[in-house]
This record gives sequence, C-alpha cells and structure tokens, in this order.
Amino acid sequence: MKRSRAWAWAVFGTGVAYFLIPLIATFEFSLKMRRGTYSWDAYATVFADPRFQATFGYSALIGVCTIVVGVLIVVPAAYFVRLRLPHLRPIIEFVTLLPLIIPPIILVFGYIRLYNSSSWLPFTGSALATDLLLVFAYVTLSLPLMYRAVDTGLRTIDVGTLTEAATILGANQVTILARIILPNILIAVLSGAFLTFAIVMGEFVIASLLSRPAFGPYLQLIGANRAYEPAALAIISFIITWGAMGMIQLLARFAPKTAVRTD
Amino acid sequence: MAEEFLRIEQLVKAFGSTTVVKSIDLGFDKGEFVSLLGPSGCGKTTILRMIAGFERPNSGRILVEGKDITGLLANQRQIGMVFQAYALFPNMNVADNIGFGLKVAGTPREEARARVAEMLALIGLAGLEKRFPFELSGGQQQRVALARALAPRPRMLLLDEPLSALDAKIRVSLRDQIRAIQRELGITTIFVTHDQEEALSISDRIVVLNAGNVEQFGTPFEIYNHPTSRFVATFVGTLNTLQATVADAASKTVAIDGQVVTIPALPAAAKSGEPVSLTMRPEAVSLAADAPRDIVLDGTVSEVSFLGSVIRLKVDLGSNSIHLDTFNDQRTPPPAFNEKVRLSIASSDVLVLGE
Repeated sequence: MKRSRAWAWAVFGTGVAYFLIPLIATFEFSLKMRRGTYSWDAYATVFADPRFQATFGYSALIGVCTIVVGVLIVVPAAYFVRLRLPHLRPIIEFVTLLPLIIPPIILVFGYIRLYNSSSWLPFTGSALATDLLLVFAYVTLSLPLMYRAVDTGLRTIDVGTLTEAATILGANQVTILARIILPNILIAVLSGAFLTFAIVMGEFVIASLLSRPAFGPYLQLIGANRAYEPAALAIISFIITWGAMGMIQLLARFAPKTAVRTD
Repeated sequence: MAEEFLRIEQLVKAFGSTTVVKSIDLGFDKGEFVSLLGPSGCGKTTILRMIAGFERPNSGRILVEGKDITGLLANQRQIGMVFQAYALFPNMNVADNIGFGLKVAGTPREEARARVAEMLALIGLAGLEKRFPFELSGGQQQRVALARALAPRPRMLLLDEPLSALDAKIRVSLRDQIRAIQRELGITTIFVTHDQEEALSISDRIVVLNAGNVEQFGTPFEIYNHPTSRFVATFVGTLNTLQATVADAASKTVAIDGQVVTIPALPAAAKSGEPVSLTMRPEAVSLAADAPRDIVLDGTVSEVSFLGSVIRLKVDLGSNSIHLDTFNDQRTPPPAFNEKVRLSIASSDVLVLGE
C-alpha cells in the first residue's frame, strides 16, 4: 500500500515538474533584464509599449465580439437540437469537432480564397469587413469548446419541460430562450466564453494571415526581436488564461440549483 | 345539463405506425374535475398534451365553449398546466415563478404583485416569495407550480401526474389541497393519473382508458361499483375473480370448487357445464358470522395481513381464493392461519363478466 502511494506521488511530482519547471524558468528569465539583479523591467517595457496596448485592446474587443456572436449562434442551435432534433446530435457534435481537425491555416486560406476583394463577398476588401471575418473565424475555432460548454449546461436542466411550462404560460420562443434557458445555463455559457477569450487572445495564424493588428502576431514579433520581453509576455498570457479558468471556477458556485425533492 | 365546456371529437393521434389515441369522443362540464385514468401507454398523457397544444392530433377536434382550439399554439390557449417534475424555473424565486405568466401577458406591475400575493395565500405559502425552488420541499414546489398555473386566470387547468414524484403522505395532503382549491375557484380541471385510488378520491368523473380507447366514463361510484368491462373491473380497485362452472342454467346455479350457489345475474345465454367468471370486490365479502347473506362459501384462511384499522384475509376455496377486508375489532382477534371460515356474499354484489 505504502509502495503504491509512493509511486503515485512520484508520478504526480514528475507531472508537476514537467509543467512547472519551464514556467518557473521562463518567469525567472523574464526578471533578468537588468544585469546582475532581478527586476520587473521587462514587464515595464512591455506595458509601456503602445503596440502592446493597441494589440491587447484589439484582441480583447475581437474576443468579446466572438463571444457575443458565438453565444447568439450556439445557444439557440444547441437548444433546438436538444429540444426538437435530438437525432441530429451526433452529426452536430461531429461538425463542432471539425475545427479541431482542420488546422487554422487551412481555414484561413479557404477564407482568403472565398472572401477576397474580387469575390461575391469581399470581406478582405476593407479593414472592418476583415475584422468581421476574423470574428467569424474565431467563432468557428471556438465552436468545439462553446458548443460543449452550452450542451453540458443544457444537460443540467430539463429543457423540454421548462420550455413547455413557459409556453403554456404564454411565452414565445424568444422569451423562453432569453428569460428561462439562457439564465439557467449562464454559468456554462460563461465557461465557454472564457475559454473562447483565452483562445482569441493567443491566436496567431488567422490574425497574421488576415493582417490584423492582434495580440498573437504581436507576441510573435516581440519573440523574434527581443530577449526578455517575450518571456514576460508568455507569463502575462499564462496569467490571462489562468484568470479565465479561475473565473469559470468562481462562477460555477453561482449556478442556479435545481431540486427534485419528494418531501 | 349545462352545455359542455370542453369537447373532444374523434381525436386520433399516432406516433409513426403506432396509434396511441384511437378516435376518442369526450365532453366535460364547466367546473368539473375529471381524471384520465389508465395504465402506462393508454394514451392519457397524449390526450392531455393535445388539449394543452403540445401535440397535434392526426385528426379530430378540441372545442372549448364551442370554439375550435385545435389549430391554436400552446401559448395562445389560456390553459394552466402542472407537470409531474414541478418544472419551476430554477433561476427565479417563488414570486417571480408565480408572476411569470402575468409578466408575459403584460399585466401591470401592481396588479401582478397583488395577484401573486393572492396566489401565495391560496396555496398557504405567504412569506416564502423570496425563496428559490431548491430551498423548497417537493410538496411546496408543486404548490408553487399550481399557483403559477392559476395566476394568469386560465380557462382550465391540466394536471399531468402532479403527485407522482412525491412521498405517499405529502401526496395525500396535496391531493386534498388541489381539490379544495379547484372547488374554491370552480375551474374545469383535467387530471392525469395511473393511480386509481387518487382518481377515485379526487374526481367528479373518471375516464378509464385502455390502449387508446375509452373503456368507461362515469362517476367514481359508477366506475368502481358498476364497471362495464373486465378491464375496468380489474384495473380499478381490487377484484376477486372466481372461475366457476354453470351447474344448472335454468335455476341459475354455479359450482365454485364444488360448492353450488345461486347467481341471479347469470346471463340467460349461459349453458350448463360452461365455465363462467364471477367477480366481486373484497368489501362485498364478509365472514358469515358478521353478516349472513344469500351466498355462503366455506374455505381455509391462507393469509392474514394486519393493516391497522383493516385486516386483509385470503381464503382458499380450493383452486380459487378470495381476498376480503374486515375492520379491526379490538375485542375480537382476527381468524388464524389455516382456520376454517365461512364467507357470505350478497348475490347482488357478484358480477358475471364477459371478456
């Protein structure tokens, strides 16, 4: 018994070391900008860089837009599939997994070919339209996570009966989605939203090939030309991702509770 | 008789190749409490869901006060419904749940607030308006669901097995409360249940359904005491069925395990030597010492179940056996296992059932 426990700790320790040592090394390196002493200079340089602020702000805005568009598409789709077309669920699940199988580079080349300035839908013809295209691309990219988060949320409530209960009280489909379904799966939706945000903030390929001033290409640019700042940016990116994950954990505590009691 | 409030005409519903409701005709009066009773798969819930507007009939019509509502959507029918699984909105407190229908209908805020307070008083939960569903017991949740259904003043109330998810004790008290509220409001109510005791105790009339057909529609008294088919007789209440042989058709005598008795209700078409099924309720049978009646049978006690105020006995007559209930008498102990007893039955309580 003791022997197996020691093995378990050894495996756990190896796993922790595998993930933490590079992170600690990166963090330590990011503090070494000033010769002979630890300092926050790399971070100060990064935060003072106007390109950091611009690209971070741009990606954050695109992230929020992606979340809004994603929620507007995924929540009604997942709801109606669960309510009216349950036999289509395997197909929908497969479709939502496609973005994990098809690399972003294929996706963006397809977009550029389909929506170039001489096509019927010239999305790449203007900056604003390209921004829209970027949002649509990110919605696609985050589909596996957003769909699964929403579907898991829908699984925790009795969608059919709640819909019927609201319908018989006079509510239409929009009211039901907005006032009954969405509030009851809000925590799941927010989980998907934070994951989407984390993806958008670090994405490089699509933003770069669509020539958008996003945070991902900025990270690459700094990484190619500087020594200490990329390490600081890597740590900042980790903090953003972990912040998003922490918010998911925090919000899970506020999920509406259901109670099937017999007393 | 007043004009029928709800009329169902030749209603048919099929799912794929299975027809679950087979051309049903029913009429319900205003203010009536009617139960749809039957085993699983008999079509009772499908009928209720068609009245609610959740299912579309393949053919037939549903009329409320003479107006055809078959084509109306569920949210246009002004019907209240209570579900088996409570179906309270988890993100809303009690007051918001009850007021949901009023809000959707655009009722002014003050009027809605007053109506919610009135409903809370009606269900005896005043003071709990800020609680969330998960903070309420099952019985309280179902009372809130009832208040929510009644708040928008629906034309009728549909109850889809609202007591099934509750413990036995709560079930009885909530059942009585539902009936009292229904009487107070005078609202036409249709109650779906597979529990015959529930249907008998709460209803003005009962529709007994079997395999998509109406077997019998009548008052609890008629359904229990005068079943028109073997299905109704066996499904509603406990029924003793004795296999007998016609001893002499002319004198209407039959032999039950060798004991010959006279059955005046024996059909004229019965022939001597033919097998025949005799049925009677447990309460129609008593120990001969208690109340001598015209049919007397001797048997041996094979089971004694002490149920408190009632003692249920099983008496073997040979190949047949009879269940009977006797009241617990504190001064007289019940018959013992294997004790020889004499049973008496009024021949008027014996039914000769066809298939």
